[in-house]
Amino acid sequence: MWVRVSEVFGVYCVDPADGHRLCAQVADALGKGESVRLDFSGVQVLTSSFLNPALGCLYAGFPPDVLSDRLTFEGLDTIDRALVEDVLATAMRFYQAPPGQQEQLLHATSNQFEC
Amino acid sequence: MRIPVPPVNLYRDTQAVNGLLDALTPAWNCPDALVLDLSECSFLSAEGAAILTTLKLCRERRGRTTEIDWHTAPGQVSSHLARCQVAGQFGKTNSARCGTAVPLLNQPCLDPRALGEYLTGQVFAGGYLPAMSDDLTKQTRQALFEVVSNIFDHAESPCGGLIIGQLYPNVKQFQLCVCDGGVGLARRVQDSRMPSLSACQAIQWAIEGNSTRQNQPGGLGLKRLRQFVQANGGAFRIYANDGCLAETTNGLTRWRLSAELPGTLIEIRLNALDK
Repeated sequence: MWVRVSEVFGVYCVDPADGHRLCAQVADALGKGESVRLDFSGVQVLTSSFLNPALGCLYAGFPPDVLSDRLTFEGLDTIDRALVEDVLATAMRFYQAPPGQQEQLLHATSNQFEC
Repeated sequence: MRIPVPPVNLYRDTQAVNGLLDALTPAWNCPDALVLDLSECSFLSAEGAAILTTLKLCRERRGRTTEIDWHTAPGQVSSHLARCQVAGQFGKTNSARCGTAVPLLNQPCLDPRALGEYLTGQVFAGGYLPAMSDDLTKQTRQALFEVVSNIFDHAESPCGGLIIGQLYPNVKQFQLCVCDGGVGLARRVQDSRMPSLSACQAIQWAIEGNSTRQNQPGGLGLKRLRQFVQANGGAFRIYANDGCLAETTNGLTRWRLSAELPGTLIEIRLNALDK
């Protein structure tokens, strides 16, 4: 499956609801064994508020190796590619962490100062 | 009810927003008509203008009137409010020219196209600041969209979100303040995951890449904003509920406010030239 993101969601990809819609499309194709190519050319603004539900949530249903093999991106400049990689890395950490572990770690970090 | 508004000049007093919030404490929930007296207000920064506008819009959603007694407003403040298009919210004519003010944009709901055009026309258009690089323009745009979309995703703000800013041609910097009258970032964190954190701690937790979402990853918006501002050599402040966190090239500071901001105010100040 090939999706030109700007044609489906417009040039401002910021809305989490749009991200969820893209996630559903991608998950459907991956679930059928297809490979998915997301083309971001023409997108003017891309944010994590869109990408977290669009891409991050895929890690809830698919193993990282499946996603790295069958989900590819094009049309990303350096800045947007860095954002996508950040989103994917965050999602991988999130879904691989045992329940409760993340919260405990973060709580410890934020209690290091008083205010 | 009549409330005297103190000056908000962060160059002279880094705690000035606290003074404004102190003064406005009775105003947020007061059912009576409210008149703001500016006779003591010798200067009103973009942060101050953002908070006053948020107050006005939030009260308006509840059917409550809020006015400025323009007879009390010093000329400089009156002119500034007209240039940043805030005067019109309080019944006075806005100035046709914004000058170095980045005028008010209020979005009751997220309108990405209008936000994009606003940034292009009011911040990146040139004239007062040197032409910014494509990367800086893009990263600024991305950061602002992250912050504004967070409002509609998390804040439950009755007035949506608003932006006001200022260009500083002499030092080649620009400032943008994004404000909402919602739950407040700190309270959102406390209520969802971390009840034992103070407001300052909750804000820091949020900028470290953490998310209040229970079942999906998130939290990148503020983390990346922080990284971007650091790389630019700029500064940012986040006021939320009774906490404030500020980061400059000198490091991170945070302090507890003596009065509450019902909502969140994020102020970023960026260098127009890439480091």
